[in-house]
Parts: sequence; structure tokens; C-alpha cells
Amino acid sequence: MTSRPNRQPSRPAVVLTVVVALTCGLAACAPAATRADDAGALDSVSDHLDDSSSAVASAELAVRARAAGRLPAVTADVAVGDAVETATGAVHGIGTLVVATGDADRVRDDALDAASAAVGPVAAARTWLGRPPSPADDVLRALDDASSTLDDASGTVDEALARRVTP
Amino acid sequence: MKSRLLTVALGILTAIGGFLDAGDLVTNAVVGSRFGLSLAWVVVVGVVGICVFAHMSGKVAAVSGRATFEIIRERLGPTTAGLNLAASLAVTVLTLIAEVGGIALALQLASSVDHRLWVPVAALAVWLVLWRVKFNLMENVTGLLGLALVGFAVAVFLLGPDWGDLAAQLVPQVPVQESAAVYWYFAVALFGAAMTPYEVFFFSSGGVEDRWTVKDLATSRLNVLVGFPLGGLLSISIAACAAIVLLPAGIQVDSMSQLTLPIAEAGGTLLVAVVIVGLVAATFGAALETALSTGYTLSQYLGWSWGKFRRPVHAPRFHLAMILALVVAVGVLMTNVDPIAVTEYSVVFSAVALPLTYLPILVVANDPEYMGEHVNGRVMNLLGTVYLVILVVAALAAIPLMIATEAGG
Repeated sequence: MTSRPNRQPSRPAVVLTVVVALTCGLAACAPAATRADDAGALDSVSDHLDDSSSAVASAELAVRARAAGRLPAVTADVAVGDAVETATGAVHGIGTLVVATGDADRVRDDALDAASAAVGPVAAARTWLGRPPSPADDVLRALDDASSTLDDASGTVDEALARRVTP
Repeated sequence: MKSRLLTVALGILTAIGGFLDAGDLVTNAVVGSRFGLSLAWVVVVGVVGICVFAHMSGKVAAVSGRATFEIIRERLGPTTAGLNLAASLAVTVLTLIAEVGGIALALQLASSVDHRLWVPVAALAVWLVLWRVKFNLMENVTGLLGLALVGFAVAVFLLGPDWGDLAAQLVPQVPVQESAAVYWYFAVALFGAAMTPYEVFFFSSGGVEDRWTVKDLATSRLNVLVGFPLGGLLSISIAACAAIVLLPAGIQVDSMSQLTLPIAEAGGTLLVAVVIVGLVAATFGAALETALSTGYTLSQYLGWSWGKFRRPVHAPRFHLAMILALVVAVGVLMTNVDPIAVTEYSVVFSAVALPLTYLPILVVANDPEYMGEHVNGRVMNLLGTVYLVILVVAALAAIPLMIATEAGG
């Protein structure tokens, strides 16, 4: 009877493999909040502002479709509910970013204000959906204003990013 | 003759309706809202690939009377087949989680009840159907109801887009606001969504469930070659709806509810209702197929009695495997994980597992011991080899691209 060499991996090797895999996985999935460099942080601010704008635009489309009787009330409620979640997620994302310099800090604060201001109109849209039918003009105007504020904030972030690229 | 035509038509219709799953729905909508139709070519490449390998695995089932996985274990040995099993099973369970989450999200659209409350209900309904309903009935009902997703194609026409503009988007190009890495990440994701591994195992095991013989090869070929490409057109129409309405509005798809916004604009409440029926049916049908695929692959590898053509009491471990997979799906979804995020990851990991799934099928389809005179011809082998190269490239690129782009950022 021949004895086969023991091909079982040693325990430390298995532990090391698992630790490396978990570390790589965590590093890959780590939130943008841990980015240390300002350019990276501003990139994240820009991404979160895009999310916020997307949420406002989704809510606007849903309200318009509901006001025109083209979207069932329950579906519109889900669409705007999802938009509220995205908008609040963007506020959380910007608020938890770490920035190093004062300049980037100011840009981040302005973006945070714009993203926070967008949550109210989106939430108000959901309230409007839950009420008896009424004109959607005020809700749409508030969403439009929020959208403009977000566009301005995005512009400021883009300018700050451009300043970093072009000394 | 009339009943044969009816069978063929039914097969094609269910192939179209059953082609789309949560991965296709979400990925196509995300891609359409960010890249327009500039990644539609990937759907075409993916559909040709799934046609090639589904046809091969269907032929293996029809000629040998055995499911692909049984033969893979016998032909390649337990170690290689075990690697194949591990990769396929992991991806299939991940896909099952995405599908059960997809049913819950679709039901939320029709009820406004939080999807987390629908998750156990959806899983229970899937299990009841797997336990009680006959294979053919299950496949035909979900496939035919899934045809309601034709609503996306109807919406494209009702939206009245500038067809010239839409056609111009078909040219593969990276949009100005996106990076090349993100473009290729979504190309890999879309490819993974079109060629999800469970589809071929389900197709071949389904062939055994339906007792296909060599006489059924023509029907199987028609189902694949007509049904799947038409299903691919539905995929592209989802991306087109997003490209026409959501992209210009600056909306990036991150929830299933956003899929209904272009439909509402195009066809109003009725079309939205039709599409929601299609979403429920497509995800429910895919959940049945993925749950069955976990049972099929595990049972066929371990030599357990399997199949819905047997009473559950005669295939207890096959049914237990499916129940466990459903319990895992419910458990994961109850951790409050975002089903859309699970879906996005499932299609990327599908891409990683693709070569391990499809290489053995190509090997078996060329083995005269099992296939006799029906071994692959030159054209099929050429296509199969070309696709294997593409699959390997996609599999190698998937994880680095995911890390580099923060999963599409």
C-alpha cells in the first residue's frame, strides 16, 4: 500500500487566505467615507449629488405621471418612497465624508446643504400622493427649485475638481 | 400537425417570456439610463452565446436522455465536476436571492407594501409551486405571463422617439460623462446577465423532465433560436425605454420602481399594470428555475434521485436542497440587503463562473460515447471555442473592473 503525500493545506495557510480575501473584499466594498484625499472625496460628493438629482428627477416624473392619471397611486408611492431613500442616502454619504482642507470642506458643506434641501421636496411629494387629489403645481415647483440648487452645487464641485487638476 | 405547431408555438412563447429575469431587468435598465443603447451589442453577443450553449446542452439531454451535469461528473470526474458544481451552485443561489428579492419588489409595486414583508410570502409561493405544480404547467404559465413584458417594446413605440437618434446610440462608444472602465464593467455585467449559468442547467434538466428524444431536437432548436433572440429584443427594449425617458432626465436606475416611469409616460396606468404582471411573472419564473437548478446540479452531482417528474417522496433530497436554497435566500434578504445590489453583484459573479460552467458542456457535446452521430459539427465547435475565449476574458476582467470602478460607481 502506497502512502500519498499529505496535500491538506496547513491551517495557517487557510487562515491567511481567508484573512487576505476578506481584507481585499472589504477594501473593495469600503464606503467612499474613508477616502483620505480631497480629490477622491470631491469625486464622491459629485457622485452623491448625482444620486440626489436622480432622486429629485424620479420624484418629479412620478408626480407628473400621477397628476396626469398615468401611474397607479400605489406604484407612484413606491417610486417616490424609493426616491426619498436615495435622497437621504446621498445626504448621509456626503455628511460622512472626510475632507482634509478648508477649501474642500466648504465645497462639501455647500453640497450637503443642497442635498439636505432636496430631501424635503421629495418627502413632500410623497405626502402629496397620500392626500386627496389636488393640483401638483406647488410640489413640482419645489422639486424644480431643489433640482436647480443641486445643479448649482454640482457645478461648484466640478469647478473645485477642475482647480485641483489645473494648478 | 396542428397540435405539433401548437407545441412549437407554446415553446417559443414560453422561451421569450421566460428569457428575462431580475438580472436582465435591472442591468438593462441601469445600462439604458447611463449609456443609452451603446451597450446593446453586448446583449446581441450574449444572446448568441446562450443560444449556442443552450442548444448544445439541450442536444445532450435529447440524445443521451441524461442531464448535462450527470454526464459532466461521469466524463470529467468528481474533482473537475466538483469545481464546476461549487461555482455554478454559488452563483445560482446568489441569483435565486436576487429573483426572490425581485418578486418582492415587483409585488411592492402593485401593493405599496414594503418588499421585506413580501420576501417570505414570495419564497413560500415558490416552494408551493415547486412542491405541487407539474413541470409543464409551471413553465408554461410563468413563461406566458412573462410575455407581458412585451409592454416595454410597446412603450418604446408609444414614446415616439427620434428613431435616428436612437439608432445612432447603437454605435458602441463610451459616453463623455462615463469612464472606459465603467463602460466595460457594465459590458461584463450585461454579458453575465444574458448568459447566467443556471439557464443551461435548467434547459438540459428540463429536457429530461419533458422526456425529450432525438425527435424533439428540431423543436428544441426552434425554441432556442427563435425564443431567445426575441427575449433579447425585450432586453434591448428595456434599455431603450430607460434611454428615451430616464437618461435625458438625469435619472440613474437604482430601484425597480423607476422601470415603471417610462411605461407610465408611454401607455398610462393600464400598460403599467401589464408590465407589473410581467415583472412578477418573470422574476417568479426565474426563481422557480434557479431553485430547481440548485436541486438539479446538487442531485445530479451527488447521484441523488431528482426531477419534478418524480413525486417529492421519491426525490426527497432534491426537494430538500431546493427548500434549503430558498431558506438561505429569505435569510439573506431579511438582513435588509438591497435586492437590486444583490442582483447587480449576481450578474457580475455569473460572469466570473461562466467558463467553469460552459467548458464542460462543450467537452460533453463533443464526446461520441454520449452523443453518437450527434456530436458538435465544425460550426458549433468554432462558435463554442470563440465564446469560451470571450467567457474567459469576461471572467478574468469582472473582479478587477468591479474593484476599479467601485461596482460601477
